[in-house]
Amino acid sequence: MFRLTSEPIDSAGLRAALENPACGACVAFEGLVRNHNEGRTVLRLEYEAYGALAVKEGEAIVREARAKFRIEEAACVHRTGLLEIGDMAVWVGVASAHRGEAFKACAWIIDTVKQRVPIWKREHYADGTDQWVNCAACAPGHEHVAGPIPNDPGSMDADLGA
Amino acid sequence: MSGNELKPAHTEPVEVGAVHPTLTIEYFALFRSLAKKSEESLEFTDAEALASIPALYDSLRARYGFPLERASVHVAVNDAYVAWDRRLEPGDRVVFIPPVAGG
Repeated sequence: MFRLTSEPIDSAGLRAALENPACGACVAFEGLVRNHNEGRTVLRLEYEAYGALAVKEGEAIVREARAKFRIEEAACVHRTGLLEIGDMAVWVGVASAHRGEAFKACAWIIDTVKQRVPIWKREHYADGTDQWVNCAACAPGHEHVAGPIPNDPGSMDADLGA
Repeated sequence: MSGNELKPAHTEPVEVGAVHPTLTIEYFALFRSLAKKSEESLEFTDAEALASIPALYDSLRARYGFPLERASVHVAVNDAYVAWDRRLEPGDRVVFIPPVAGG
């Protein structure tokens, strides 16, 4: 399950939905808005998503995690809109028979979501300025390299070896 | 790849009164901020110019001052990631995707 929401994330409710009598481990990751980034004081964050593709890609990532790891349950929810310091921006939960696979799958899902799901954040700073993270900060001559989104659309549902 | 330039209209016969083919471009994040719009429809007098994603990106980049090279941008057509050499067709909805920053 992957969802976008403009409402506060109900992590207790999401965790309850992972309950499975075959699972002895539940690992959850909560991504929170922090008050600083790269030496600047951050007042709040704004998340914007390309909804249709974000959900499609997020669901593919959760499916891939189920194929890649020995887990029983997996879910991820990402916020959109304006968030304050301490607000939860993303939640990932995984349940499995043993803890090892749940830890690995949870880390893989959040890492992969950050690389592939079309969601962006704009930081609003204490000095009244704001910028899109990773983009507007780009100095002339500084070249981003696109992330590992497969360019062959036929491979999008494949289990990624990388 | 050839055919990436925005060229003047072909002289091939066109239906009389035919509406020029259009693409819808949607903008997000940095690109939305720079284009100062979420969406626009573009009309093409030249089918070759319409078909090329690199040519389209370069023309939008020049128009709106997008700072990103193609190498750091992904492309989606009709809500699916596609390769840059995919040919566009009239009616396609195109989104250029700056480096993502979720989480």
